[in-house]
Amino acid sequence: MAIGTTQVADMLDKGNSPDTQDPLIIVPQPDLNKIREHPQASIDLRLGTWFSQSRQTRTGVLKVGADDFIEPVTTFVPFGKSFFLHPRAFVLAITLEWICLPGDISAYVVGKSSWGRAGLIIATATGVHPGYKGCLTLELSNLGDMPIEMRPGMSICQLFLHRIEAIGDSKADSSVLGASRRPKFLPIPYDDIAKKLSESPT
Amino acid sequence: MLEFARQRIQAVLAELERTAFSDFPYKDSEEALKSLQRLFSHSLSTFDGLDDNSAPKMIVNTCEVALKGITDNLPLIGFIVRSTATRNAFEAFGPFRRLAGDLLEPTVPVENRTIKLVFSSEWEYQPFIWDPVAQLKDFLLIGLPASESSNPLLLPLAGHELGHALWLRKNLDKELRQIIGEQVTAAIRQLWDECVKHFPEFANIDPDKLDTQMNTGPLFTALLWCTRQCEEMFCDFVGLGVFGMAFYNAFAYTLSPGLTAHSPMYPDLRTRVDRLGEAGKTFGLEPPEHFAKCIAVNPTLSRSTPSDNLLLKIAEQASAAIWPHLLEKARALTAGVNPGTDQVRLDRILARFRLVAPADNVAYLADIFNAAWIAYNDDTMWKEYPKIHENRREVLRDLVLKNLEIFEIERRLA
Repeated sequence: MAIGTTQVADMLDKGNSPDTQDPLIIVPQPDLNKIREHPQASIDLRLGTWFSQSRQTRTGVLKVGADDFIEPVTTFVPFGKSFFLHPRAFVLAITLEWICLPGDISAYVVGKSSWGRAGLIIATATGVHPGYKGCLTLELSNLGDMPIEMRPGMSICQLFLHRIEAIGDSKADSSVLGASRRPKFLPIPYDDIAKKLSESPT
Repeated sequence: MLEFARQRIQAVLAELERTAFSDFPYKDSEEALKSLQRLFSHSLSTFDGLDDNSAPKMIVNTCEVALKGITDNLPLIGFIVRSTATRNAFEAFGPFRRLAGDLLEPTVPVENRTIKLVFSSEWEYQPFIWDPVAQLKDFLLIGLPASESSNPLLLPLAGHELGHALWLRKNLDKELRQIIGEQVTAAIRQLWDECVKHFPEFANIDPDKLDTQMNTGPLFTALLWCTRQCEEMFCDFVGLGVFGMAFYNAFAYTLSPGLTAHSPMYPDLRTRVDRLGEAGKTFGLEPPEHFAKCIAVNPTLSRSTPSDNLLLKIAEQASAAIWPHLLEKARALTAGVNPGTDQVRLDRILARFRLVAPADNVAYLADIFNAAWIAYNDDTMWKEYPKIHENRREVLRDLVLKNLEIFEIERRLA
């Protein structure tokens, strides 16, 4: 069930208390008064300062199962400066907010309509698992035909929170992909089943 | 000669122009580069009107000045270029610029402060601050070892480097000249027989009139070494005053077990550790258990002679009498930026770190580093999250850097 922002504000408030077990945390914390004044279905998140792009001159092909997936070019864009995303370009970015999801909350990262209409896709892997900790990596792509100017600190996406049935230990390693302040490329997994299928005689 | 010199400057300007396209992480490093561009443009303009028929002396002089400008400034350009490398802890820039202002211009409103900061990395294993550069007035140029420049846990060492800027701004060389001179002459009197043995010129000096001879020969060397040692000690105390326990930890991480080579401009590492340990009482700190033992190597002067060793003994004896005075000075100058360790404040940040989250509403910069070092030294940290525990050093670094960014954001929005 989706959680409205008034309830999210209450959870964030509660999370400020050191006694709260497994709290919801968003830092920098959104303005809770504003959220309560204008309840919505999602929390806006802002663009962070780090960007990563593939180093095309060194990456021949994206191979499945390889440990050395992509050697990125990392860029830091300070507040007040711009990053220009050109048509058909793809870049990993990161949210300004560091997020900790409790064990019974999952989330979806979704673009904002104003950006979408400019051609910007925010994220393709949009699910955030319970227990996630860290800034959220955004997979930005410009599908439009005009370069898009982006500035760290701008509102870039929205987070819809959902309560889920318990999935067991809330401290399970769903945070393995996070706990980072910079966007990272990850190896494309090639699991045992896929390997066995490829090795089986036809 | 004239054409060579002109082309050399044009080459520097071309390189500066290329460098100007770098992704500068903040405007201070960009401004530093622009200042150097102006400097070399001016240098090139000094050749206007000069040709092979100009006065030979003028040609030589102009070329010499231009060449010196290049040899002096090329390392500085390299330093500024390296300030753009993404290995650096960019998130630390804002908080440290603010800290530098609080220390060096405490009575000036933030918007009117003139202090600028360039944080960079250096391919030398020593944190350092550049000596004041005339063409970059008001800039503090602080470098951390390249291999550690993304490690925020070592940033408290920049507190020592800020101490150098404080020493210079407060003109402490001049202020302390008398007391240092008195202690150096007192040490020489105590070691008079040895001095006469190693320095024959001492036989002609009246021990009661030593203070009139301080600007020459071995007396000057002893005074210089003692003054520099006092500055280094003062800077250690500034680092301790600003960052507390985190300074102890960063110091031990960087310098243990010590190096055998010892510059006479520094107190030896073991002495620094001992004095920092004692200085803790002034700041209400108990050094970590490992700190007292972190230096195990006996230092020796490189290229030492018996007379060098005697001068060093004089400088050390004199500085031993002065350090409590330096400590008091450092305490007074740093009191405004860190009121001291408060366990409640630290526990609040640590509670967040345990949840693998940065803390908001942190009151003092030092608290972030002190909580970080507690987390670093706690091997049980994040045991309940095995994957995070496995990478806990890396995760902690990211968490601390994010916390520095949040610390800065909160102040910008306040």
